[in-house]
Amino acid sequence: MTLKQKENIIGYSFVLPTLVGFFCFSLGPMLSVIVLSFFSWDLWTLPRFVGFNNYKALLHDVHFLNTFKNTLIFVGGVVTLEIIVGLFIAVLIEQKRYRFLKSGFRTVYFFPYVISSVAIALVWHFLLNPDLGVINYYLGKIGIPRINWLFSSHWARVSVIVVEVWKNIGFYVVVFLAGLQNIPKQLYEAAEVDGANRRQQFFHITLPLLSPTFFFLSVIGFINAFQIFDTPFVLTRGGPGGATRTIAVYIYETGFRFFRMGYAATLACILFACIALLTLVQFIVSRKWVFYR
Amino acid sequence: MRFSKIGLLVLSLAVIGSVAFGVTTVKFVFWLWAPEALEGWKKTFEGFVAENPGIQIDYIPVPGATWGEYLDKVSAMIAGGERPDAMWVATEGMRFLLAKNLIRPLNDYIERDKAELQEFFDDVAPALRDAMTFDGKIYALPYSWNNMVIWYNTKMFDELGIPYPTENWTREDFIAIAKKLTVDKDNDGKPDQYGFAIEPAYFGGTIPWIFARGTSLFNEDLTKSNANDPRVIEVMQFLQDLIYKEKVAPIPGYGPTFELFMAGKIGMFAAGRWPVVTFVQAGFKDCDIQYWPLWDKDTPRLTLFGVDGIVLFTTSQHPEETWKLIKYLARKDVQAKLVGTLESPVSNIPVRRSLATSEELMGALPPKHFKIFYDSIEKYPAKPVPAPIFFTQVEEIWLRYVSAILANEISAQAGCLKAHQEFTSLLEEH
Repeated sequence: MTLKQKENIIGYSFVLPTLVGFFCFSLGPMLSVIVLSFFSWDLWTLPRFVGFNNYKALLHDVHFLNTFKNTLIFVGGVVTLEIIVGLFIAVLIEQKRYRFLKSGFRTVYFFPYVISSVAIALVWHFLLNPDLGVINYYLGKIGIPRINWLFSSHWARVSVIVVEVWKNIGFYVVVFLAGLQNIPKQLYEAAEVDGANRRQQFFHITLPLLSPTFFFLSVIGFINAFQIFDTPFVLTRGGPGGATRTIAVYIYETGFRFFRMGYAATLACILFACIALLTLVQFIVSRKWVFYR
Repeated sequence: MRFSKIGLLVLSLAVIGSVAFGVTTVKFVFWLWAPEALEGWKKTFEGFVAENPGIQIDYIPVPGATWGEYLDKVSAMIAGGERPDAMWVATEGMRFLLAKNLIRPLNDYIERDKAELQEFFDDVAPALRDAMTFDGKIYALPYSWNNMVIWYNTKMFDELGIPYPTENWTREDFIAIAKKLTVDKDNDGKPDQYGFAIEPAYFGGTIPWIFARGTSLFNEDLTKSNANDPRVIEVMQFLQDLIYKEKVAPIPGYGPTFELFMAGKIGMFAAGRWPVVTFVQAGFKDCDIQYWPLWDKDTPRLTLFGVDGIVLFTTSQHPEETWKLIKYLARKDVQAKLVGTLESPVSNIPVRRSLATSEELMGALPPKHFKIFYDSIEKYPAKPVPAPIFFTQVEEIWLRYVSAILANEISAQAGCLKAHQEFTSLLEEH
């Protein structure tokens, strides 16, 4: 055995545990979902091959269109807010005068990200309760009339977006902070010498140099937002009237409540195709605006 | 290598042994609605094995908050290759199992053991037995059941000097009482206690009112939607009005109903027997029950109920042994310890009249007028919860529109008509 072969074996044995996990728990199930989408299966009896019937049924499924619309609303709201608010907080924390508090702030903002999302949704459920919740109580104190956070289709969507953003914001803040720290200080010094004010510095140095961070976060954000499940599932149960039912919730219900595994697999395939396509488009468009040093 | 050979030897000996000594194993799946219920089940199985030395029970407790959740988990288990012999299931799930040809009729067994089972069937209300019968064939021995009654907080009634409701109270009386119970104590324009809490539920919230109105959500054989019936629309309008016009009920999602009821924030709510365990654990006694209010003086009462039982799977390799277990679980001395006691599912009413009306068993727990439970199914005509085969989908559709109606986002009429459309296409599709 040559040294090279030996090194190869050692190398592969290092990645083997991950590889086995990937094949068993990611790639395998993914492929079986694609196969399953051509079957009708109720879990109790054997699967039956139905060809493209599941895909044809998709065309007449009003729920699918509704849940898709809801998902797009959440994707738009959540990703936009996460990036804008995340950047805003990161820039605030990065201010020179708050430097000594930086690690404290970072921890505080990151905290929700590591808490179980079901626990988060349950706590927000109490906070947002229209009659007994703390939020309406304090809003009432400053003269804002009672808002029906969870049981009106308009506000329920807002609530889901708010909770989702609150939960994930820490991740965005931390990544933005890393991006900000990577920007060489000389650039700001040079800009100052040239007479650029803070605003000009932000728009002409900070933003362009953060473009790889923006790109990374938007790709991750879109992928995650398309799969929003726990927040609406626990917070609003998809209601009222299906206003907060996302595709992921619909897939779960179709598969595990209505026992239509084949159709659920079809929906999952469509969701996968959407995310893959969107990510591809993002990568192509990114060549135009992402600036790598 | 040596080790595996020994292992193989031991294993084959065990197999030969169990066959030679005639030990069969019956696999039984049941709903573990609360962890503390397991003890009672274990004792029951021990009792069975002691009486039937040749039979072992491989019991699989499946946790879940509702019957639906339980069925979901069992489905995943079946998909994973598990093959139970018997299962505890509610009628909603039975129609599904039946449509898939997964359970077998018990008529032959019952006919054969007629003498032994006579006492059981004499002790069970006919409606409960009939609910297990499809196309003339009975698929389960009923085990426990629930109906819908109005629970009321006696302390709140006493404080406000409101007389307790009587058996033949009508919807008008109900609204009048609810209005009296709704009080704005601190005069901030917002009630601090409400008369009634509406559960945006199927069995537990809307169907009892629809039955009271003398109609149903589906036709008799559950093949056609009846959600466009003007009487159904009238019921949904009434429920919407309780919140927005009469203002005697909070919007759904106000808070945990049982806790608010115990805290005196809600005067009345609708349920079967299932609040009992919460009340007993909290030491709460200021409550009682009354029949569901009549819609008006001219509409007769129709009791809504849901029942469960033990079914025998077609795939079972040991139907005789499984049947023995099913019979054992129907026995009076077994049910007396297992159904409706604090150690076991206190959430349900025993199917046996002698147990459900027993002072000793039921009288030890709230409510005081527990006899209403069994009277409701024997003194009045009764029908099981209308559950077509695709019940989970039906329930999802209905609750989606119910939640929209109760959130005042859609009119009762529009909601019912849209639900009707969806029901119709669902039932046509299958």
